[in-house]
Amino acid sequence: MPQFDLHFLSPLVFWSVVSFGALLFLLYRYAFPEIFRRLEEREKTIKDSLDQAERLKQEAQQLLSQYEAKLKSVHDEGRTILEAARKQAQEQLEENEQRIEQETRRMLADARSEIQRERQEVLREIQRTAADLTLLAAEKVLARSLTDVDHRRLIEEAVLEIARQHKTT
Amino acid sequence: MADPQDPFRNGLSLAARIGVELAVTIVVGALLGYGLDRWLSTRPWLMLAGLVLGTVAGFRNLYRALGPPVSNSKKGDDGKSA
Amino acid sequence: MENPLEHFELHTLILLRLFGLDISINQAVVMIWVVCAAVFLFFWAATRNARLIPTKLQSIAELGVEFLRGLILENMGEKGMKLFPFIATLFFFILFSNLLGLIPGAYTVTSQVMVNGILALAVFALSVIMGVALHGAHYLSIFLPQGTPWWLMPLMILVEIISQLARPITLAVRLFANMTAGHTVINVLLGLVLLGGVVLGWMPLGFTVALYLLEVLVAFIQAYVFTVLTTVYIGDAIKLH
Repeated sequence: MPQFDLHFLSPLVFWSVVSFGALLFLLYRYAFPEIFRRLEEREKTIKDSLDQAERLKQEAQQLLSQYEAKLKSVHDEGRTILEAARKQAQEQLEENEQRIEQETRRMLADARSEIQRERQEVLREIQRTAADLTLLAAEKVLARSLTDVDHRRLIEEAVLEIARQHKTT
Repeated sequence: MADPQDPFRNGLSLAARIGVELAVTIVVGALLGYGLDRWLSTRPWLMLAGLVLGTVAGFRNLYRALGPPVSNSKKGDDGKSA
Repeated sequence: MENPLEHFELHTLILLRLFGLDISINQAVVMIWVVCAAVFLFFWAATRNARLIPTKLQSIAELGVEFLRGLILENMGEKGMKLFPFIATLFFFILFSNLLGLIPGAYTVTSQVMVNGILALAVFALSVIMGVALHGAHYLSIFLPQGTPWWLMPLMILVEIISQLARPITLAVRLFANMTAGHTVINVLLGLVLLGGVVLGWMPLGFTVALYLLEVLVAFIQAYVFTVLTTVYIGDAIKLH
């Protein structure tokens, strides 16, 4: 076989070593670092995008939950306000009712006592007029003057007597 | 060209390996013996011994390369690092 | 018909000497340069105008680098990444040699057992250097498989020495044999095509095309196998059982 011709051993070995060595150096120096750098870069880019997507997702989730919480709080607040208004109205109503009732009662009592007082007044007026009339009549009848005080006392006793009798009848 | 564990490629590479490996190992054993024979002028005994040892080594490598599938499966193509 | 092995014969093109060493240029040497230039051009084109969204060439180069990194990490571990430039250069050098050798008329560098031999020797030397650097004298235990019964030890040590020595030779011989065989068959078939002419030539031509495709596959497989075994051998020295 021609490949075992040792005549070519030294040129082949020499040039193999030199050429391979040169290629190794060139690739080591210029090609591989660039490729590794790029591979790493791409890995990093992919990882970064994934991270960012994850972050955005989390943000969206957070926003959503925030929004939901706000919504819930607004809802709660509305209910509280409504409740308060209703309670206030209720109180107002009850208070009004009470006040009206009291007022009515007071007015009724006032009217009643006024009537009572008026009646007393009228009664007393009648008594006094009656006494005066009686005195006048008696004076005329007796034609005789008694001391005014004695007369008045006697007559008032008489009238009271009459009134008592009148009331009992 | 991405997964070194691809069984198809492992099979191909194994097929490409084992024949030459067996032959070369036997020849190396015999040649070692032959060289020693010439040095020690013990012809032809050391060459015969080398042939036997080379054959043993060759079949041992063959056995390792084909390997017990369980312990070999993780190493994949490797049959040498027991 | 011409001798099918004639294709592999070397002819000195330019006589050169360096300190008494014959470094004459022949077709294989020229082809080595072509291969190295092609690999470098490939990477130059792939790394130029680097973009985040890669071009086709760029993704092929990156795929290759990723693949080799996976291979190294699997067989050699993290420490093996120091040898990444060597192993990657080795892989692409062999792959391009195999593929460029398929061009009719071109010389297949990897069909030269001496070229393969020097590459395999470099792998062997690296494995020894790595082993001694990492483990010192303990590296010698690579010759003693674990769990050997004591009475088998002398025999096993001899067997292991033969195994270890056979490793670089198998590397070189396998590549050489595959490349030589494939190219010889293709050459013979191409010769038949020419011989058959228009009337009968189409029959071997179809066969040649099929064989060509097979040889492309073989080119990849052999580059892969050489690289895998390189990582395994050096990985053995790094891990040491």
